[in-house]
Amino acid sequence: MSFRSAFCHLTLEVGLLLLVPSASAEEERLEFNRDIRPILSDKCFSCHGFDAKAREAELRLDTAEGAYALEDGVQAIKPGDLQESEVWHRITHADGDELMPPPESNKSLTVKEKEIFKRWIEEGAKYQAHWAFVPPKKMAPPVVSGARNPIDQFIGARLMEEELSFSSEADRNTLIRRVTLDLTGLPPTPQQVDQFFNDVAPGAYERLVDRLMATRDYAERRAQDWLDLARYADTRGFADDKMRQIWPYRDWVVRALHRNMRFDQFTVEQLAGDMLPGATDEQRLATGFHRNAPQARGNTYPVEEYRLKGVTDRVNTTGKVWLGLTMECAECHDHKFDPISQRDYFSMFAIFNNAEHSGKGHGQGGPTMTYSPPVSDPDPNFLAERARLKAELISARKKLPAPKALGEEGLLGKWDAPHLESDAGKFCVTGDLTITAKIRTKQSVANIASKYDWPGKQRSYVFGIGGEGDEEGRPGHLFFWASTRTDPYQGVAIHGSRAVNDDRNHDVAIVFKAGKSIRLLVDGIEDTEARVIGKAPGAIAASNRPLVIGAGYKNSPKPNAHRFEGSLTEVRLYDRALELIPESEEIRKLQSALHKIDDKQPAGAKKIPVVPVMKERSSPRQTFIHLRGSFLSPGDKVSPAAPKVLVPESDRQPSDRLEFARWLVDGKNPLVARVVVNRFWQSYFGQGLVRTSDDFGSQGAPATHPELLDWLATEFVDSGWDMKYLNRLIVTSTVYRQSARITSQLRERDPKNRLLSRMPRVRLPAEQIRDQALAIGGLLKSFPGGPSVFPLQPNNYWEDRDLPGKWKAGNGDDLHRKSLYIYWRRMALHPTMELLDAPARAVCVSRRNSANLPTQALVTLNAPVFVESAEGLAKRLLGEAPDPKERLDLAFRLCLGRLPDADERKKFLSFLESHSAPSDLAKWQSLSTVLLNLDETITRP
Amino acid sequence: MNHSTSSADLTRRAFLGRAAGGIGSVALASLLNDKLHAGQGSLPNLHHASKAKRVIFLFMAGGPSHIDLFDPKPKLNELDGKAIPKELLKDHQQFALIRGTPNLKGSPYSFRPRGESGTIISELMPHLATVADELTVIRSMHTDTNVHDPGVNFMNCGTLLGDRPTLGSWMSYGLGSVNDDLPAYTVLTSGVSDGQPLLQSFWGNGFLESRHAGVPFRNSGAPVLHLDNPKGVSTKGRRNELDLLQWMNRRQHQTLGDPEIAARIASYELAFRMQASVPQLADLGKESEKTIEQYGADRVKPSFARNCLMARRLVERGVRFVQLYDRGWDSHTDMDREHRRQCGAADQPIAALISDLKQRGLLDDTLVIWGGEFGRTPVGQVMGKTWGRDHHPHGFTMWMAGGGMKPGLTYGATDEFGYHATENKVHVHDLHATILHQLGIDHKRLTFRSQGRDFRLTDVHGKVVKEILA
Repeated sequence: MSFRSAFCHLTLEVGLLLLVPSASAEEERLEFNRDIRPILSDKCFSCHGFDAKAREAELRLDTAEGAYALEDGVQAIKPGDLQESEVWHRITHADGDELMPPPESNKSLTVKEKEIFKRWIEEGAKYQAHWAFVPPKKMAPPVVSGARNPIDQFIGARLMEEELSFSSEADRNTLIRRVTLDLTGLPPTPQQVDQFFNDVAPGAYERLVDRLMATRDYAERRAQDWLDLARYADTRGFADDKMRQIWPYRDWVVRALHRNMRFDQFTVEQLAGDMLPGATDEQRLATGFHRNAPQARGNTYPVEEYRLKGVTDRVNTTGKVWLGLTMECAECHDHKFDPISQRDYFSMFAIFNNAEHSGKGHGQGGPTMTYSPPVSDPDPNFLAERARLKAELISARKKLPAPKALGEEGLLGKWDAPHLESDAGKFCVTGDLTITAKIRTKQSVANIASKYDWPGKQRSYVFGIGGEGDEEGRPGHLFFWASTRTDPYQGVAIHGSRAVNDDRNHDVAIVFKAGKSIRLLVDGIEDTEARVIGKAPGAIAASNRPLVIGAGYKNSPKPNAHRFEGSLTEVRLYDRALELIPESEEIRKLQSALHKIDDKQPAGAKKIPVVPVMKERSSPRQTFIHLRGSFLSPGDKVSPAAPKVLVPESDRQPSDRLEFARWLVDGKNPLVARVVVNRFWQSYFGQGLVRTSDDFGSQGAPATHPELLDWLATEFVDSGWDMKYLNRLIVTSTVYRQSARITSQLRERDPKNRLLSRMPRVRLPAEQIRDQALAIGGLLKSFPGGPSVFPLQPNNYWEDRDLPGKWKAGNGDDLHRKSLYIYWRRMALHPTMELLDAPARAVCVSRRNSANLPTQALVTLNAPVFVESAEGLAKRLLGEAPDPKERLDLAFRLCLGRLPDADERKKFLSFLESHSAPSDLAKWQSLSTVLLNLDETITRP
Repeated sequence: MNHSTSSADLTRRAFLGRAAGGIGSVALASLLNDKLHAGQGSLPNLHHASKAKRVIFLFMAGGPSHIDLFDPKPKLNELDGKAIPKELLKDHQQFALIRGTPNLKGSPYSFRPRGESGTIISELMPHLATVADELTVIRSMHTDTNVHDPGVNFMNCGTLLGDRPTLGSWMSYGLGSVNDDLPAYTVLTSGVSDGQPLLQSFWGNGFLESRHAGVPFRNSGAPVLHLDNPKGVSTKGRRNELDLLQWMNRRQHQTLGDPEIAARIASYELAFRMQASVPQLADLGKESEKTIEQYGADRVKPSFARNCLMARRLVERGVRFVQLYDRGWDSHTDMDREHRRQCGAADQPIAALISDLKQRGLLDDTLVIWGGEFGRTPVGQVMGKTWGRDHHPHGFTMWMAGGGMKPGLTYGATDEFGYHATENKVHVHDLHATILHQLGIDHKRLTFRSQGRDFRLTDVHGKVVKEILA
């Protein structure tokens, strides 16, 4: 790129702001906010604006009072009188010393800008409050033909003004691909396309939208955007960049969006869920939002500095996400462009300055909670699959002769609830032993049967979950040990390979054959991958402590430790090694399959992670202004408050996090709803109605369709902050359904599509490029939630950069989970994501970059996951269609949601025929590579 | 822009990347008429004539010791073992790792004037001494932190957080690329693992478009990620695939008229060309035995020496900004062993790079920069039998060569302990301003509008150090 182009770019961006008034200059009066403020803000406010300290000549031009003031007989601006307006003389002055802006500022006014200024003064130099600080008003939408909803009325009216009209509706193939990719992040399957084509009744498109919005995929896709804002990542940031278990917060976001939680609630729970009266675990978990702030290890020596960085990040992120303001500009001094003082900044800082910060060791650097994911919201696909397996299992069992009831032979006792045996002498099994039980629990550590006391040095045997919290034990997994001596321990221990604390019913059993073997069974099948430590002893020691069912000892004379919570029934103790293996291989296989998918989606807790969340300190911290942004120079003490400009004087200032969160969404804030609906708009149209979706301040771009923005904002609040309603409104509009074709007329009249005279095409985000390839290749695993996964990553990717830790690629399904679940390392994002423009999320991101780079082409051509997907697609084609023509049709339908035309068919078939690859599979894989790389494939049409 | 896309157009479009959409077709057309290779010949619309067209930044990650390499302090040697004078600790927060009040530690190495200029270089860098007359040594550098990664961020992008574009990104943004087939901003890594990771932000593009991000060349496998075709796909096979792909993309472009499609077409062609050009670049087979020996490199095995030779090959091919990270300079525990090791690996190739560039006539307009994120303390960190030095931001040495700097000059000074920069202090922002100046750029005028503000590399600081310019 030449040097000139860099500046062309800037000039043009500025020029654009002026496009609007100049187009209809003759008849229309200038408007301060639209025409003047952008010039003043950009060229004058840094010395004559809100920041009193930086103000030159005591002149401020951001308010009418300042501009009209008479100082020493001179008036900066005299409305209607150009000659008496000093500003006019200064901006047109020939002398460098007198000229404004001063040449050394590297700022200057263009001829056109001076012209506009002149007109404005002549027209009376009327000031307006900055539009974004004035509450939106709901205007009645203008009447326009071809409109389906008010969105179309506003957009259509503007097009009419320009003597343009909507582009024609996109064809049905395009429509379903567009809306399916947008709403679910995945391409439509051929079956879904057929279903849409076959639905000829009116409202087919709306029905499609409703179907898509009900899926979990929809929630996952929307969550992806929110997680960019929430700067959600699996690591703490900074050089240390260690993992932290904050993925339950990510799953919270998906659940909330799936349930269509009201946005006001969505806001309050994430910012202050912990402070709600009677806060639930879910509400506390939601506050993980602000624990996503990068957090250096607690013992890095400028502890306070690193703590403050976290608070600063919370202020800046909140400012960007809800207020669309560049709060960070007011950290060191008053904001240059917007009426946000440094005092405002630190008042808001005080709101977020009250969480504990451990500072010790490599801890989480703040409050945490242990968290058990809820049982709700199971994935429908998963449920169907599980139901199918269950049904098969039942019918397979029916085919067998009735199972032998566990006999009475050798049965020493039977319990249906936790119990403390009073006679310590009983149940001293010293040889073969079997314990069976039915359990259902979410606990990660609990005992089923225990004849053991540690302080008393009385060991015999224990059966339970989680190994009594020992290092060897695995939380949520079955264990059993038996000692041949009462003290010290000597014997055998076994730890199961799968968690059983998933809040489902399980038949569990331990079978011990003295001197020979030890086996764990879950639901009638043996856990062959259980870890055995030691050898089965020939005898078990007799402990003189009582047998406890559903509890155990732990440094305590009372059997109160490791109490079993949940359902514990049919506990049986035998002095035999029973034969419990099912007689049928089919049953074993089905049960294994059931275990496998259950492992993917626990109904309840399995590993209980420790999740960083927010929690207020009991005594609030004092907050001082940091002079020049340095915490080492404390200035005035400030109280918690929201930026003054946003709180009417008659209203009470919010004084803590909860009040602040509620204040944001009380429906009166002029910014919040506008900022939120604008971002939804951006996610479908590639850019917002306000292009600077992260800056609604003076320096931000004015809305292209201000009335529409305000209508959407007020409608959003009126709907009860209903996110699905708002998204549905957008995607069912005529605007959204337009063709994307850029005719020569449109290229000329609306080159940047600011008028939305057509639907913009948008390259898919990184996650969707990968997920789509996996889906088309038949490889995508759509299990929701859980710990982040480690798909393949180039060898030594971290090691080459000396990053601590090792990328241990997962196996099986983990390689092909949705990209939403990829382990997100801030300092070295997975290269497929990084190269395709996904942000590392070290800071809040409200709009992603998107590029067309050779390094990206290399990813989609050569990276293993795309090679695998192409191979998967080829196998699918060979397996599902009999001849080349039908295979090609299927390939096009899978990738593009349409059939090839005659030319394409000819070209692709001849590509195959002349292909030199040795096998059909290789040829079709080569063709699949082409299809997966098409512009048409990786672009949302 | 009409729908036919000539190959020259396409190349241009790929440069422009996303900007094709952002810039608008009018500006685009004018750009297309610009000379393709802005960097070859006179650079149009620079703020002033440039002295340098390319930069090689030899980044000594971890922080080399100025006191033991370039800035001898007789007084420090004299007071070796005495407690650090209190006045030095005024306004001082805390050492990075040293606790308590440490003792001064003199340098055990001998220094003498080298070359005609008499530039002082320690015995640890005998090879560099042979090109002493090419160097412009700044002894009065200072920076804002004594923590590694914020320090590296600061040296690269002028903020501790590393959330802004790095120097190379600004160059790529301001000056564009000269070579279509190679990334404009390349990062090479080597050295000893010492627990200081290389973070994505060190070559990050911040708010600039992602095409301005540095591309780290890898030391294992192909230099660029996913450069090699999958197993079983030949170059010819790939070409056939691309022909079909591009046929489809061109049809799409004709139907929809979306300029992004043209940019995408070009990016695939560039990728294909990179598959040939990068291996050629990395293949040192044609370098003479003499050159290989001069650098002390191995033709295949990754090392700092090999990277120096690669750097020469990259700038020869028009790459604007090459940054070499040499790790292992963080000598806390055994100064002598660690600095001897680092110098042993870096000294010869750096000297070779400078001579080689000079011999090829490239040094005149290539700016070579040497330094770390900070220097090392004049106080010792005693670790049993051995000793080291802690991180030191208040005064340290960097040097530059070529690119219109005044050769043979030693500029600025630290106090008699090598503690504070005292004379002609040069802050990191000043260094950035000076580098951009040599590239023909006024650091105050290379800006990018993000979040309502015109950002620049030097934020609101920085002044060009005119005294060191030729």
